[in-house]
Amino acid sequence: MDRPTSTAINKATEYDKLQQILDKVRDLKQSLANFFTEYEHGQPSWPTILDQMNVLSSQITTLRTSVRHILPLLRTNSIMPMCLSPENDLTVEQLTERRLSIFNHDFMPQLLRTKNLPEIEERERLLNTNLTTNNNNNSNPMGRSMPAPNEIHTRVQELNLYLDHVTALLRQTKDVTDKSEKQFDLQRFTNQSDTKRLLDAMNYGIGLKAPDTSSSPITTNEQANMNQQMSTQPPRQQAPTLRIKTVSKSNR
Amino acid sequence: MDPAQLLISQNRSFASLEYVLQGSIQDESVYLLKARLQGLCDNITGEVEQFDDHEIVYTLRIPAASNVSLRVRYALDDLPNPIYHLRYVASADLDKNQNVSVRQFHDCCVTKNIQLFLQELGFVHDHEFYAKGDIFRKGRMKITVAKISTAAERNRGDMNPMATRRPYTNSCFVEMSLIGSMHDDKVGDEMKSFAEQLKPLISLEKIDQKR
Repeated sequence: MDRPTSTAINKATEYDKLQQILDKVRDLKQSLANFFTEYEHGQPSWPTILDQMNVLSSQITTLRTSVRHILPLLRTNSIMPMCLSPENDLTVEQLTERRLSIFNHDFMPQLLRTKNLPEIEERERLLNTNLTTNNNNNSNPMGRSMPAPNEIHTRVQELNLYLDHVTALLRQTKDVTDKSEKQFDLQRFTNQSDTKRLLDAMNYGIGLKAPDTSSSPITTNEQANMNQQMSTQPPRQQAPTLRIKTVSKSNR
Repeated sequence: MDPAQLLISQNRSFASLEYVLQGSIQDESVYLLKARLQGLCDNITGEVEQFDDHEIVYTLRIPAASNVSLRVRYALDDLPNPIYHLRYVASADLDKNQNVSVRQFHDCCVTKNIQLFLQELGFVHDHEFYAKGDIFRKGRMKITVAKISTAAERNRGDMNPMATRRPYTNSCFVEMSLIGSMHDDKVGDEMKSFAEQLKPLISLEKIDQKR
């Protein structure tokens, strides 16, 4: 699709789009060339072939999509060959990378053709008719006959059933795993009020000073439960005289 | 020269500070915490060390100054001749730079006359509790997971304590402590980074200063 200078397209954006397509074509050519060089070194391995085919198919697909996008533009523009000469044309040669050196009236129709070759047309016609008839066709990749409409219906129902089954399974596992995660996240391992009470008890003794029934005096002002009896004995708050008894006991 | 004088003469800093972080965890989830600690901490024999202690706090009320509390602790497993352990902890200093609580700490082992001795000195029985749980160690750190229970009635150690115990809350008390001296700077970071590993089960915090 190397076009000689076409006078119809002047705007920059369209030119850019064309350039993009041109780049894609070049990439495609390059990958094709790579593919063929692989064959020169002997039969390449199947994975290599697959890789190359992958690249080629993706490139062709992108090319097709970009051409499809630019198609309205192309339809509004038409190309007219302005000059045909039977002599070598260096510019043309350069543009086509030495594949075409003469732009004469033999080659020009081939280049600007818009209709398929007859063989291609025949093949396409066959393909299109096979989609609507029940004929055996080798181009069908499964190698089986095209099923009747009611067979299609049953097949579709079967597939739907399988799909429902699979989605149900997936949903179940999702629920189970999600729930376990959420359960763990929502779990509370500490109780704030308990923590507070424990810390108070351990550090300051709050809450542990239960009212006791013995006669020894305990008067505190700090605790919450103030319902203990005030001892009649005055608490020994003054520093008492130290009475250190030394008892000669055998200590353990 | 006896050891105390030797120490003083060598001017070695005496380990008298306790770096502590405290928290609690609900009883139902204690097994998770224990499993995690068992994996994280030093584990020589594979068995977890358990303790069952009775701690009694005596307070001396000085009219002009704040009260002094001493804690007497002994293991119930050692009955009938337990080793008593006397401990003094000051109230924790509020230090915003440190990410752990720091408090003064002294302790020593005493004879079983200690209760009587303290009473003679003028200390009054303040409160008591039982702590039963496990103790884990990691390097210099000690982590205790204990269930605190109170005595239903005061006993002087003659009766079977288990018969009269009543849990204080539905949670277990977790404390991470490290005895160090004043010059240990990185201790706080060490403890805090270990405490991070126990989240989200438990968040160990500094001692709250309410008084």
